[in-house]
Amino acid sequence: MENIKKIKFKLLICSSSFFIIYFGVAFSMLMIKPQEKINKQSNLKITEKKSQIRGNIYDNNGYLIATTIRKYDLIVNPSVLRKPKKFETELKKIFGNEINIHFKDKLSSNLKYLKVKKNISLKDYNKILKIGEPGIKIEESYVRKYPGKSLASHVIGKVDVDGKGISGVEKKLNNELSSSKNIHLSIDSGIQNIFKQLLLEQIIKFQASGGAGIIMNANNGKIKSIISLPDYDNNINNNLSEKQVFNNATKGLYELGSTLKIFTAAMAIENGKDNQLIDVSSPIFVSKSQKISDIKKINFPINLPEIIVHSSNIGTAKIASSLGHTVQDKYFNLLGFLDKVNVEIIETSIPNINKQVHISSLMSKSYGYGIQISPLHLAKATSVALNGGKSITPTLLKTKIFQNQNKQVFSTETSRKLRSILYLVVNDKNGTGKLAKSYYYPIGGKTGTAKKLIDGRYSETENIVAFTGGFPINKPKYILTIVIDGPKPQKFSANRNTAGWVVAPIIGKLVNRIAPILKIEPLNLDPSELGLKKYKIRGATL
Amino acid sequence: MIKINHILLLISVLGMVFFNYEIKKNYHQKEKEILKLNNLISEKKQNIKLIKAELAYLSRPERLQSIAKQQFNMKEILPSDIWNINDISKLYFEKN
Repeated sequence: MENIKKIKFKLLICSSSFFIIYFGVAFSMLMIKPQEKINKQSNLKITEKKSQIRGNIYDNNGYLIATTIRKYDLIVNPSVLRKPKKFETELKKIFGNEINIHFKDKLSSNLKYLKVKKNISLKDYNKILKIGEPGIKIEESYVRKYPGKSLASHVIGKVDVDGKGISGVEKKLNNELSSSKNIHLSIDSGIQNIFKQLLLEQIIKFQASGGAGIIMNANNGKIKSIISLPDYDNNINNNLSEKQVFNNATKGLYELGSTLKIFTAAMAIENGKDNQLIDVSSPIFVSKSQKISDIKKINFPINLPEIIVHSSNIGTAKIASSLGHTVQDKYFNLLGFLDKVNVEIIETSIPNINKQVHISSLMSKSYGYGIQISPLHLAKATSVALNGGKSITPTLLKTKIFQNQNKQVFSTETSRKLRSILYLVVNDKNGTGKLAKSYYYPIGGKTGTAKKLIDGRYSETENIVAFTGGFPINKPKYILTIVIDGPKPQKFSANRNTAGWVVAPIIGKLVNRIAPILKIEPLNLDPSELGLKKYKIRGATL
Repeated sequence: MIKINHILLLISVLGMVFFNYEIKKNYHQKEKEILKLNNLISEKKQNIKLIKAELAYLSRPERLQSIAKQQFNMKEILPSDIWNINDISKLYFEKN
């Protein structure tokens, strides 16, 4: 009996373990099936790969500037289609008349690959699959879209077919963007639009060949608006001329003429040479072929503010020669005229400076000849001169931490005196920038007209005209820099194409329109109340 | 006694196997659902992106400006429209 019991027990264990293994295997086999189904489905539906989607670019107010959109293209292999004509009518049922009629012949041909329709929805794709023809698939692709069109073409730049940045912010910040980080720029789309319209209007009026403009925060270098004209629509990839794609504002180098007198004046004040009277009645002959002269003839000795307000080349040259090369080179270096401007785009240039150690080179550089800089260089240097003498780094990013922010280039007193002088350039009846005046905001700045250098020779008719300055000039918050290339003399401008006639008139208009947006209160007070020193400017006879 | 024990054991094992199967089946079903939902979410996200891009396209400053001017006869803000609250009260008291 004992034996039988033992045997029965063993038998039970054996049979139960058999059952367990049997059912185990059976169920595991059952379980494989749904897994396979899932795999099939995941092949069908394309899952999103996070690393693939490029980050967005926003402006200062969160307006979407650039984004990446996924799209599906319908691909058909016509060589394996069974009933091409029926397939075509079915396609027409789904897409209506949007489908291209010319596919008729191609669908019944022996082609292996045919892109039937770009940008279809997954719903439509499922409908097409239900037609029951073989050789249908979709291709997933990503496209970069710029909703603002040509809002800030050059700054934003472009991407290539693979979605890699090839210019502008898209290239410089490609690493961040391709790891799907969003970028917030300091650009204000509204101001950008207003600025562009005004600049474009003036360029058309004067039949100029191009222009550039920058509005920048004077204290932290954040660029509110940056424009280069002619521009282009970022969404369009072909038929772009070299001129359209070229960034005049950051890459273009120009001799900006009298606008550079600001910095010569700053050097003079810094070195205590602002009170001496200088005789500007006769031209300076630096060499046999080169003569420095003024348009206005001033018969009496004048001081520094008068030199700047009348924009006297002779006076500026004389000041520069009394300062010498070392001072000029030192401040040009401190103002950043020797290097590229370090900003978040790749299109920047190293200025061209005449490095000759000769009195003619020193003198001509003091009033803006023999030194080619970009408008961005000028904007940067202007903000250093006007913001109290602190060096700044221009940036296109909304939030950025700066390191050498507070390096003092000029003393605060120098900057204050300079602001008073630049206020007079715009507001005094003798000033060259009279037309830039606004009745609501105190503006200060300097105009500059330079003969255009064409094939190594200075043109007698073509000019480069510029204005650089800040507002409100008693305590500058924003720097304005505008350069217009090659304006032609017009009847309404009394046949003149100088900066005072071409650029200055848009400054006042521009400030009146953008200052309320930038939350700056109108201010129309006496210069002495503004904390500006009142210099006496005597008139000149022509 | 042993017999009953063994039968109970067998039943419980079978029951557990069945229970296990049910859980696994459920799990796979849910996994499928999750996959579907993830795909749906990704699709909807893309749609949202597309719509946001369209909104940005329609609200580009250039277009808004022309609409404001032509359809609504609006004008741009001028500095003369900005008033200090103290100036307004001063004007009021001077008049009265």
